[in-house]
Amino acid sequence: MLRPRVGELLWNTLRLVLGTVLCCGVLGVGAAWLVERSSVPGRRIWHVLLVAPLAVPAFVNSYAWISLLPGLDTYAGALLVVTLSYFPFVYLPVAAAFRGLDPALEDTARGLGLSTWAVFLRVQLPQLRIALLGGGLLVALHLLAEFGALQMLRYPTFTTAIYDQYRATFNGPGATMLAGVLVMLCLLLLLAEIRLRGRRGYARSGRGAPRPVRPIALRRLTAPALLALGALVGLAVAVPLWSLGYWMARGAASAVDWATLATTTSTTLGLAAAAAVLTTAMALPTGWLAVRARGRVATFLERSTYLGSSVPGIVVALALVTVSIRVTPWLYQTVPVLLAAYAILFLPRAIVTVRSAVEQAPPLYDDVAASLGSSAPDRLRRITLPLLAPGIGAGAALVFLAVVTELTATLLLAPTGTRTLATAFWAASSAVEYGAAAPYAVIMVLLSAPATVLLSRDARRGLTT
Amino acid sequence: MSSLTVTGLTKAYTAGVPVLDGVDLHVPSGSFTALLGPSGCGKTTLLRLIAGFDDPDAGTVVVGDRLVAGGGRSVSARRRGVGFVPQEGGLFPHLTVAGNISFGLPRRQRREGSRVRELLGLVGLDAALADRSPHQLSGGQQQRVALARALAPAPSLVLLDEPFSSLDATLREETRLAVSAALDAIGATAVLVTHDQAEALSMADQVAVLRQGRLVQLTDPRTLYRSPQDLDVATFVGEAVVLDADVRSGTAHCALGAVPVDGRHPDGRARVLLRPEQLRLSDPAAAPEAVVARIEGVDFFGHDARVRLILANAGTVSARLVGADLPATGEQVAVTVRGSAQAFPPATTGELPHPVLSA
Repeated sequence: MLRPRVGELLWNTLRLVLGTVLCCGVLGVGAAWLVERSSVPGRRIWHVLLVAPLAVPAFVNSYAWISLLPGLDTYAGALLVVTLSYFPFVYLPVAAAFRGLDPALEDTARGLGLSTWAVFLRVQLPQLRIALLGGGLLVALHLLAEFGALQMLRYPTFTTAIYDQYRATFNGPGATMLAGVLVMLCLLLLLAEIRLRGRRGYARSGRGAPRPVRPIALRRLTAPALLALGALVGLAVAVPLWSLGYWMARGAASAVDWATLATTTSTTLGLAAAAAVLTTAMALPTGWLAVRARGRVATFLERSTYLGSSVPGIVVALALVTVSIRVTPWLYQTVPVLLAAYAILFLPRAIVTVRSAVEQAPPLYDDVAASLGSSAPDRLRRITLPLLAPGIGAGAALVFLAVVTELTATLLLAPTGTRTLATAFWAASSAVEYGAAAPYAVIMVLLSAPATVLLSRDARRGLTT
Repeated sequence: MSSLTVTGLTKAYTAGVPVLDGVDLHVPSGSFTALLGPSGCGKTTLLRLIAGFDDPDAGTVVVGDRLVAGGGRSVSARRRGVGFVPQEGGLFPHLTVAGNISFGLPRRQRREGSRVRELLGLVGLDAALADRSPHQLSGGQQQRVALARALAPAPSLVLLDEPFSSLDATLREETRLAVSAALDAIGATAVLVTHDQAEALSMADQVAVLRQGRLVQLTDPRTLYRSPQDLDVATFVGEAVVLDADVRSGTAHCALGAVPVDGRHPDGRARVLLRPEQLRLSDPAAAPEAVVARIEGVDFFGHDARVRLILANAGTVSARLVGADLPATGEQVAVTVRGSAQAFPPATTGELPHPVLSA
């Protein structure tokens, strides 16, 4: 009975992944070219606006659209909504790669008589390949894990089907089987990602462009370019914000429960803070070893944590449910299990930031401190920790913000009665109480905004992993 | 300050490929030694073994009369009392200049500003820099602060790892002088690693030439320049004129005529070494018996010039000339030699080493 269902889900999932990756690729590269290489006015503002969709969680974006246009529960609707949510995942690395390209190469090509379009196809695009593929993989991984947005649009994929199975039969073999197929898909993508990651070093070796870029004059095409960017930002940012504002106004009329809102917010912040501390503490030794003790074991340790970033939250949650029921029933539906899920899911983000901080603190400082008579614990306190502090802080902040908007694992694992902003929002919007859901969404967007600003400034940093 | 004695030091990072191969080196107390060698010759490894950042495979390191490495003993870097100035300074980016300089001082002295001011004065920097961050300093200032930091705990020995290589020419000269003055002022025992022969010859009391992990020659700069161990060292420490010659009772007969030979050399075939500044040019009409050469080209440097000469049947040699009166390309000149030559055994293959034209 499950066979045709699996086939149908596979088709649904794959065509959505392919469509979204293609759309995101075109939008991301196009927008990045306009912002980094053309004379379009207000390039800095456009850059921030093009990253801004990341501040709106995909399931909030989905809610914003479906609450306005109930007819969006089709393939086209799902494609539209997830593309608008995910295109920054391609835009950011491609824009960073554009910035790293040596403009001298483009000038040389132009000197050889190539047109702007030919320069893009034959000089820029080949150099952007790794950033583009990396961004595309990220979109695909996110989409395979996406639950809230697609459930809201009633577009069935593996993730939503697993959830439905789980809710209907509680840990039936059906859910586990579907999860198995999903994990296989994710692992395939992860393998591709690891191969890319290995090559990324070459792509970056030529960065630090020595000369400023002379933007391509758009002339008569300025107005269409502005219109295109405006339409993209309008659909991706203005529509959800306007929708949220609309439902806020409607909801305010039917009285917002401020006390509940406050408790939910403080519960969320508490969980996020605990997860941030726990995850960063776990990331420190791994990030350290990956840089300072390069070897098979350290590399294996580091790579194995990336599994967490590619296995969907629903699978991690399901696994933890199974384990905690079978092995440690006294832990089932408690905060520690929830925190464990957060740690598994968001450890890679913390590791990446800690790792880059360790890379910026070369062992030379340690040697010099030792030659000045400083002991190992003394060096840790006076050299290592102060140098790593910014990286540790950034890693903790990224985890914190990811937990604030985490929906899937929290739905499955949160102790009874514990509500976070995401689950409270989910409960209200599932019951089609759009007005009651709006305040929770607004708080999540406000909390996510600082991280988005951070990302738009430091585009070279990895996005989620 | 103490002396440094290194005996039979050997180190290989991959088995069978020694980076250092039985190096012996003695640095007298209060003296300045330069370790000179091309990149990859093992000089930085030697420095790291002396500092205690790595352990040798064999051999010993003795600082003063204390055995710090070898013979089953390894004193950790922090107990060696060896100051270290890395390439590019390596100042702690999260600490101010004062914080960097006082890093190795005991806790009580860290708070007093007097020692920091004293050290800033020693390396010729303004005490007002004490509150700056490292990134607000120029490259030369960073190097001087790094030296002050290394000298602060009064080490028995200071090691400098190519400290001037990242500075541009004018700043390099100024920083070199300031570092020399500071080291002289406290009578420091210092070891400088460099691949720049001018730096080694001008700063050091003695120069140790390393080649492929072995110490080739250890002597004072003048002797090294005048009487190098072999022609490789000769061309490495400066521009050279190398000619085939026939030595007969203390005189070499070569393409530049008869030149007296330093020291004793058996009669027979040899190669002789002259320095370009030993060649003198004059009008062929005024010196009819001198060797005549044609000017191939002139490289003008301002303070002096290099004149490339084509000899009748001995290829090209260079002469260094001071002054504004330079010959023109294509002109014929008479070449005479001032002073004496060094003689080396003849080449086994008959090939001369490539003429080294770099200054």
